[in-house]
Amino acid sequence: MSDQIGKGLKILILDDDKDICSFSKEYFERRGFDVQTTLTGKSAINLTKKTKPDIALLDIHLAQAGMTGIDVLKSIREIHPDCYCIMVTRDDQKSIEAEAKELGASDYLTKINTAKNLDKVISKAVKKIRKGGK
Amino acid sequence: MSANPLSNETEIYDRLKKNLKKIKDPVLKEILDDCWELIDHHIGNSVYKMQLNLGSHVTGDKPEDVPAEHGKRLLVNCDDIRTFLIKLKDATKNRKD
Repeated sequence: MSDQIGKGLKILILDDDKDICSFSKEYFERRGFDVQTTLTGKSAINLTKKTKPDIALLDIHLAQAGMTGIDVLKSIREIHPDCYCIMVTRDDQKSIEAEAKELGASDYLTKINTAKNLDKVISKAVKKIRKGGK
Repeated sequence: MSANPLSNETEIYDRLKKNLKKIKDPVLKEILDDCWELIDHHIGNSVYKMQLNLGSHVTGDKPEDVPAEHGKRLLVNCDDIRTFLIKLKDATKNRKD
C-alpha cells in the first residue's frame, strides 16, 4: 500500500476504546488521511454532518447504551449517502453483518483478522472513492 | 510464527468438534456462548490494538522502527490478554466447591 494512499481523503473512526482511536489515528495519518476519531455514536453523527468524511470506520459493538454502529450507519446513510462505511465487527457477529449489508454498509472488517485485511479493505475503498463510487 | 502445537492437538480439536455436536443441555450451550462472547470481545480488541499499533510502523512503503513507547503499549495489550485468560479460566474450570 502506498504510504500516501489517503492523501486528500477524510476518514472518521468510531470506536468506544480510546487506545483503538489513538492507534487508528496514527495508522491512517501515516497513510495520508485526514483523521477524526470519536468514542460515541452521537458525536460520530455530528462529525459526519460537519465534515462529510469520505470513509467511516464504524465499530458495531459500542458500550454506550442505546446506540450501536448500526444505528450510526443508518444516520450516516441519511445525512451523507456517499460516505464509504466500513463496519468493524467481532467474529461472532455474522447476523449483524447481514443487517448492516441491507442497510448499505460498504464493507466489513473483523477485528481479529485486521492485519491481513485492513490495508486490503482500505485500498478497495480508496479505489472506489477515487472512481466516484461509495 | 504460531506456538508449537501440542503433540495431541489434532485429537483435541477432533474431540471438541465431536463432543460439541452431542451437547443438548441449554445451560452448557449458554456457557459456551458466553465464553465466546468474552473471547471475541477481549482477544479481538487486544489483537486489533496490537495490529494497528505495529501496523502504523512496520507496514506500508516505508517501514520504520517501532518506538519504545509503542513497544510498551504492546506489552500492556499482552498483559490484558493474560489477565482476561486467567479470569476466564478461573470462571470456567471445574470446581468441587
